Amino acid sequence: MAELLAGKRIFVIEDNAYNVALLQTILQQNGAIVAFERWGKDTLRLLRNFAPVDLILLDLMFPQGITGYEVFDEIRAAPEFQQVPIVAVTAADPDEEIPKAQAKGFDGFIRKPIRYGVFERQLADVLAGKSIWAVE
Amino acid sequence: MANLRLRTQLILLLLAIGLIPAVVTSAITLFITADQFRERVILDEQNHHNDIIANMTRFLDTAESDILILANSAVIRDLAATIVSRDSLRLEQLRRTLEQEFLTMAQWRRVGDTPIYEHIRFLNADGFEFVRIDNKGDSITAAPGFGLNVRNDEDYFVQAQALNAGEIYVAPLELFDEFGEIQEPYTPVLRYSTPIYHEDTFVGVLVTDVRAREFLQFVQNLLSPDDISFLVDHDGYYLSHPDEQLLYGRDLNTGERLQNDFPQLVALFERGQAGVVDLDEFLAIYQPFSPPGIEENWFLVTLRPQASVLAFIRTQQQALMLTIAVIAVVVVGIAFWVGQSISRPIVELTETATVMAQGQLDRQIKLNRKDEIGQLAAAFNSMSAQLRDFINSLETRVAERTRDLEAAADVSRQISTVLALDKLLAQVVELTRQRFNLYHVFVFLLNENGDTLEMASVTGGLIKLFTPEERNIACEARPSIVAQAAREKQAVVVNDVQTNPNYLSLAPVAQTRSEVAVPMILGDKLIGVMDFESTHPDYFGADDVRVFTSLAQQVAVAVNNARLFAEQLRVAEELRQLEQMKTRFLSSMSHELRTPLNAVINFGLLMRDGAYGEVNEGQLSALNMIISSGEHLLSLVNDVLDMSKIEAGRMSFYMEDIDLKPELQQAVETARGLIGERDTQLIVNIPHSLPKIHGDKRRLRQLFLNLLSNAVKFTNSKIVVQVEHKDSHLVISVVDDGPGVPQDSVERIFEAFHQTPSGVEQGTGTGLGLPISRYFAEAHGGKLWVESVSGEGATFYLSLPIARVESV
Repeated sequence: MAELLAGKRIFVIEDNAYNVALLQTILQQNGAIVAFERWGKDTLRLLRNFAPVDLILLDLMFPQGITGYEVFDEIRAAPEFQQVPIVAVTAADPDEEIPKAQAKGFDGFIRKPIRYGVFERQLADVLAGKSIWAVE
Repeated sequence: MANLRLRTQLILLLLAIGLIPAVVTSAITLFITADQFRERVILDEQNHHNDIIANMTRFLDTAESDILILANSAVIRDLAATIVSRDSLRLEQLRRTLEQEFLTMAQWRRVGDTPIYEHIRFLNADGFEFVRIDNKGDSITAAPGFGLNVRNDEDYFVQAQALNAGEIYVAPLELFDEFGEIQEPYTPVLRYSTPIYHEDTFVGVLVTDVRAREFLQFVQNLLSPDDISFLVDHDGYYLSHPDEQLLYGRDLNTGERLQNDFPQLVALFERGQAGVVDLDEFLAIYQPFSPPGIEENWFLVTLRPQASVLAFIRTQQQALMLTIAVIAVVVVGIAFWVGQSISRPIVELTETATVMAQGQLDRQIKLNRKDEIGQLAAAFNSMSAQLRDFINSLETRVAERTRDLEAAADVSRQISTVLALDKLLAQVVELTRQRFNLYHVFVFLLNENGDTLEMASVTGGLIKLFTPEERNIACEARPSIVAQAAREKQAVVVNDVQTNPNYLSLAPVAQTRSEVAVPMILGDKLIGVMDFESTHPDYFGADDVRVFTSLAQQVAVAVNNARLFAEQLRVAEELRQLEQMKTRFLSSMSHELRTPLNAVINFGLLMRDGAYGEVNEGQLSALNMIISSGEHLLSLVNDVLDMSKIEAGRMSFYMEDIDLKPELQQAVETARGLIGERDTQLIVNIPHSLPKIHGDKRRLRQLFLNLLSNAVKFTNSKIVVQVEHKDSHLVISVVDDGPGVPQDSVERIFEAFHQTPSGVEQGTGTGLGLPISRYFAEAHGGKLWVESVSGEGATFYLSLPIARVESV
């Protein structure tokens, strides 16, 4: 199997346990090293423990009222993570969220359900410096 | 003497006015504050409890998901396969990898700065530790080979063996022990274990020992330093308590438990509800809850000493007494000053008034003050002047009458275009007062029950000055000339209120001397009363009453128009809000549905891809059904959300100049995927170069895909896609040779939820694809239509205008 993400360190912030398992499976299958944060509340410390980071995948909605945009700001406020690409991976309505995500400076937006088989290539593209706005 | 008496009275009065409210207010405030303070303490503590419980829940939830993340990791799956294949060389390599994986997790998961994992272990199928990570406080290390032990009779191993993959056993919270010896310092741990399988073969158990002290310590994060908070398990043994001697009564056999200390609370715990209870010295706030993964309820209690609640109230009391004393001193001071400055001019005023009352109308009071006394003097002066003028002005009254009629016409002309009721009435009263030179004008409107007249507008914004009783006049009220006018449906005139026993004087319009109340009548229905007041007695004549009656009638018509308009606005607004609510609801519904669909569809794809072992033919066909049902559900979710946005007028388009070709080709590729193994020809005929279109890429791709997937669904053997350049349009046609569209349905298929019989038979559509597509086409300034002969296939045409060429 071609390992599109071999050796890439990917940090995932996602609250749904089944989706955590799904992302873990797909990313590890493609050779990535993965760490997770589930609530958006303890991101920065866990991110520092996991560093260096190549890519951050960020859900936009969490229980307990935290939004992905707040988490985004928290990450970007840390000097060592200002260059790490952040991609929104979310089931939220792209009509509403894409303009906001673009204004914030996200490096991409992948709508759930993701496409196994396409998703890995989208991430490889982001890692190669492209931005991805996939909403189908 | 008289002078002195008045001043004394004023001083006493002011003292009474100043002090009585201060004392009463203080007493009430104190009473309420004491009560409110207690309520606030309770509320704060309850919120604090909720925070503590949320933090503990989050901790336990994370511990559960951590073990699942580990169990699902690539290295564990690799290890499971290796154990079954008995490749011992690879097994030793994996031991190192697994140690690394465990070390990372143990280093990484912390509360504050403290790592929470005491141990992470993998036990093989015989219960022997294959890898164990130890947390020794200052360092986390992998146990050396000689330090590994057999654990096959431990609860966490035996229980996990009986579970399926993905299920977790959580052992009851206990103190950490080594082979039955409780280790000091006491470390409470929670053990999570889950079995690991390779296909159907049991290969071992994954165990995490979570240090519980860190999260139990959340309880000791107190809201007030006087508080005593503790947590007990369902038998009443203390899990968290400021007095460490009381902890772990079960494991340490000390017998310390809630039953010994607060038997009343035990009964409340058993009732299972949160609440508050007054114990002798304490206010106890308690809350039972069920920690995730642990099969018993825990009980969180905070004791707030009554003394600390009361101390606050006592300080409040002292502060209030001091405030009252200060107010008293200030009031006495003010009273002296005011008494002095009021009593002198009043005496002077009284003398002058006495002279005027004897008939010397040209006598003027000289008093240069701006307060009420000054106004009173001015009123005296103007009263005498008016009396003189009145005598001189009889001859000008005919001319005035003509002006009044013009004024009434003017008022009604000006208000006829105002549709907001409040604004309308405010204009009516102000214009009427100006034009007729009145003191004040009122409009009362009859309420819905038809039994009360409600004050709707008063000149000068006076409405705020009336009490609720004064604003609402019952139609049966007596005496009231407003109510009388309403009952009799005709004008009522009071020439001099001072001599009329039926007149009820109201403070804000104390200077009223004469008054006319006129019913406002629409058809034969009373809708309100207009009331006109003057500061002069005998101000209104029969002509005035006629003018006012006709004015009131025109105002009635205007009020009615304004009400109809407001009703329409309200209905329109309600509809708009309903549409928005629907869209918002569907948007969050779509999010909630897409989240699980993400797992359903993609795990299906992973399995079909062989990620979990080889798939046989029956499994393959079942997986294909899971995946395509998931996709169908997804397209339903999409279409319903799109349709609701279209209906609410909230569909947005991102328009730019685009090349259609790549978008079409992408849709064609997807359609080829849909055809799969079927024997269907897909012929595509797109000219080499196409002019640009002004459009939204994503919506157009959705439109093309919709037309193509319809064609794939219905065709027998062949689909032709063609693009032609016709004048100012591009025309895209999609031809299929399926059952076609019946003649009576060529328009109806573009209506929401309409499907042809063959469409219903397919059972995979939503009945929304074509209406959405047509909306998209029209939003681009284009058209979408179908031509079909039933039984011989159908051709869908999409025409889109070419972008106007901008000068380069």
